[in-house]
Amino acid sequence: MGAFEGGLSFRTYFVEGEPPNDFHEDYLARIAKNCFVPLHADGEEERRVGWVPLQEPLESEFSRGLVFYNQYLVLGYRVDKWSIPAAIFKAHYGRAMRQRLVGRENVKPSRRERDEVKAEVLGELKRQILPTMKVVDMVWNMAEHTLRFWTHAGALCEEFSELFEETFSLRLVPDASYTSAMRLGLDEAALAALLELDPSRFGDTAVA
Amino acid sequence: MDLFDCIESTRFLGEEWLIWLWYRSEREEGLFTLSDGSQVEFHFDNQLTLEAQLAEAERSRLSGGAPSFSTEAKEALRSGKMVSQAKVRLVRDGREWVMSIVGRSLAISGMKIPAVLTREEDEKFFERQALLEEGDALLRGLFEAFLQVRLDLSAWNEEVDAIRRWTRAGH
Repeated sequence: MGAFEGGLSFRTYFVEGEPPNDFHEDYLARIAKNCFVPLHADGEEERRVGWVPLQEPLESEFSRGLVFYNQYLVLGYRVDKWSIPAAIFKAHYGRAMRQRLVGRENVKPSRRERDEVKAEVLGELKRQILPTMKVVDMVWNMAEHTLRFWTHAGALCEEFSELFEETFSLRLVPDASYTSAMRLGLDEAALAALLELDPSRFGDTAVA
Repeated sequence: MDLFDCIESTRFLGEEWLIWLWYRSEREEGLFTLSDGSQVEFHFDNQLTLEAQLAEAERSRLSGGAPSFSTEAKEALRSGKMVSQAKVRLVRDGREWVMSIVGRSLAISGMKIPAVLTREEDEKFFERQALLEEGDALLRGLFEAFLQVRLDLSAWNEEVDAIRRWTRAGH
């Protein structure tokens, strides 16, 4: 939430490089290639990420009207994962294991057997629940080379950057004091001077 | 030095920027002139967090009222803590932006923008983005004003002395 309505908490990035001429179709194909693919109960993956149309996060079809808003490219970064409460898993696993061991109570199950039961139980539970879903808004102003990603979560931001760079073959640079100075047009000498600065102490007794 | 190292080694500037804004906003009664000659009002709002640099547990979280005017906040500065996060208010042409800024990352949270007037869905999106970008441009203008002083070492040394005197004056 954030691009169209709701809370405005985000990280800003600068996009290095230019989109190719007539990028619309090319970008739609690139997005589709990296689109979100739902998790399946029988699959081994615990978590999946990918692009979705921000306003239709259950869809995987991308059209110009859903993605491009004048100079803005708008997408949802969807993250799904299986989230089975430990207590529920433990109870179901315990029951399954007891059933498996009927008639041979004094024989300790092998590791392989335990893994088999674990996989069976996880599969059964996954078929009964839905994965948790999170969609993070992304708005890229292609004219200004700036991008907003509506979360502060560090790991998610890193993962998102990787998918963005893989999808669009453009470098994503996080907003920070140094990159902000770059964007303001400081020349090389000023940027070099910035790197030479030491932190100032404002207190009577420095803590650092 | 690669870009990542450049970013990491200058993160402290974000915290210094917030302290400078705090000091200047009190001294200039919140009025800043940007490089294009335009003016913007800037005030610290009702949330302020100061942290010791190498001891994260040493944190002063002040909220309610106007914490930046409190003795506690100035004392935290005097003890060497830096502003790690502040809720701030920007006003231009009667329109107001409120947001929390994290000093080291410049991440923005809880931003409130001026009211979106358009009713049509797509137009609402464009107006919302334009207001976001306008707020962002005002912040960048204030960062640029800070950098001008920060990169002039004699001007900055004077500024640091003035900030120290200012923190003591509140004692």
